[in-house]
Amino acid sequence: MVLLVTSDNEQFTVEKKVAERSVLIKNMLEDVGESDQPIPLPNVTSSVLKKVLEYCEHHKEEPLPVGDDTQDDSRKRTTDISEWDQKFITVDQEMLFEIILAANYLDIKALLDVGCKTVANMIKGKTPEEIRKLFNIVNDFTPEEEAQIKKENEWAEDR
Amino acid sequence: MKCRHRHRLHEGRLCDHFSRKRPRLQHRENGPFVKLPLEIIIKILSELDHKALKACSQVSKRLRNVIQESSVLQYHMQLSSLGYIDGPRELPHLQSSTVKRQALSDLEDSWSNLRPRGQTRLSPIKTLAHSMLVGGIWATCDAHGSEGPTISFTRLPSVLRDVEIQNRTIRLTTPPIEFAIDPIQDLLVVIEKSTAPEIAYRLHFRTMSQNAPHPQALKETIEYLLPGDFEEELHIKISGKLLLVLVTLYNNDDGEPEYTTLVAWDWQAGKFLASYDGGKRVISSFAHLTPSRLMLAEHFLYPDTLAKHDPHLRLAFFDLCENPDGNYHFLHAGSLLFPPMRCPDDWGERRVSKFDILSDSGPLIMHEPLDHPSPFHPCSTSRLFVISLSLTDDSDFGFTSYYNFDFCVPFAAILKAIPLPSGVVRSRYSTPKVDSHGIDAPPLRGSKKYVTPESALRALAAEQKGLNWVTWAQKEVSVSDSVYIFQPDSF
Repeated sequence: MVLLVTSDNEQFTVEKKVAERSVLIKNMLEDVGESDQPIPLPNVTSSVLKKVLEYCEHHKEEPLPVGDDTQDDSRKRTTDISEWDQKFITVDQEMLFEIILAANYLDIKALLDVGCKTVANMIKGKTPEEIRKLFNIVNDFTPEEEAQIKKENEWAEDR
Repeated sequence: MKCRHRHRLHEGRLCDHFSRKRPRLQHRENGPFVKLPLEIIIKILSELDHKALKACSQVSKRLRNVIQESSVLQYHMQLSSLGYIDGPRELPHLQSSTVKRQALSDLEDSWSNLRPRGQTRLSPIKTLAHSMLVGGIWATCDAHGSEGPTISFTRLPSVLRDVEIQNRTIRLTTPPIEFAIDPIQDLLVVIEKSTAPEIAYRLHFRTMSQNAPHPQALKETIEYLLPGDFEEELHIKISGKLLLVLVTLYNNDDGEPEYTTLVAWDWQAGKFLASYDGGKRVISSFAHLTPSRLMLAEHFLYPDTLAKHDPHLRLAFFDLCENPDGNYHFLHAGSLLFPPMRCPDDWGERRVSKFDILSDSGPLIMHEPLDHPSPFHPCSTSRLFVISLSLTDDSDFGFTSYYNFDFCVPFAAILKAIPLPSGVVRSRYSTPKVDSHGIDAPPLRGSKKYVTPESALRALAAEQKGLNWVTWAQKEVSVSDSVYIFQPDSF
């Protein structure tokens, strides 16, 4: 068993197999060897960690991805999200981004993928204005710039 | 010990997220998306197609800069707008997206100003020879050459892929009636036929490179029996371990197709999987949509037994499904029917002389041989299908008219048109993830669809007004974004 401590000082005792879905924790455990020392996770709150551990628990039997394939893997399509993962990731936007950040920090590639694909799916098919609204992004283009962008894209409008 | 970890945490990812990557422009109203670290934003954007990326670049300055400055995303946009997907990443000479982007630009240029750098001479096709072009390899078979049956391979030179021309010839022991190659798997399938006491086709699985039994094939050969003695035609398609052969047997008297059947094998396991008989229909052509979903072009040969002079053309979709007992069967997943064709009684006999599906190889291209893999390849969902249809009208008055149509159908339109039957068990031969949409569309079992609702309505209107298909055929056939539309201007 592994003891994890979140930023808000909550303690989680989890199976080693579950905790090791996180490459960060796995490496730490390898460094430290057998020990009862709690592992501090100062970037993750208890509510987020709870959610992340739920994911790790469900996927604990799957083989860990090998090698570091980081960028450029455009062959993996957004439909790759499994049914369980889809249900799991159906959370409010704030939690979704928290999960993505935690997955990135804890180095859980599969979860990071699910999170990013979910955000991408939210963007798909939307107009710039709809995207702004979706993510609460301020339009910081000046009217001139906006006119220029429109012009650039005019010829490229889809058939 | 513990100290070490703390140290690592503070120097590592933590700081990445919470200090360095904060956007310089602070907008109090901006939501959490903009505050994500750059690499995560890029990762999210990499999942988008060029249309969505274009929309994102109009959202805010930061997003615009991210998209414009990332060569990964620029490459990605260019790829997707050209209908390509990324090739294997483990390319020693083409690793960075900047280099790949350059290769993509070169490809575009090569189409706009074709400047051949050399001349390639292919061996002339002899009579009775079969030939094919698969994966950049041109193969011809000379079944009755003076030195016995041979197959010659020519690897076509490619500047883009840095491939030189290469020629090889291999000798066969018996003359084949048909052959197929899959350079990706180094697979050569040779089919020979013996006629006594019944037709037996023997399929050999060999390597293209060594002309030796293929190491991945459990059995060197498999046999397939058919009763009777007919002239036959075989069309072979290979997709992974799936081998599909369309067998057409011709009636010896009138030369018309008598019987068509589509047979599927697992060539690696040497196992027969399933076959689908056209029955009264003639299967005249087939294509892969995904590795386990096929599109078949079918029609009735003798239409007047069913409906006056209507050959009932259809594109039928079949899934190769696994039964609980481990056997396989073809499951009809849906059809696109062509609008009814009717003609006056005093006209002669109409025949379908050609009903072909032409497409690029699509899902076949999964891996390339590792010595010279291409940096990118066509995206299967951007494929186009051309359906080539010829009708012959043998009139009683002693003259023959021909009507030719070529329909162009994008892959997406086909996907939209086919429902997925409920309870379909995906076979192990499928990789449904190849397609990004439509494949797992909600089930609508048994629904029949015309080519489009619009064309069905038009067909209905045409029928009511007594228009016949000869009138239709003389009208222009246009290609639109998602459908093919007949355009008789008189209704």
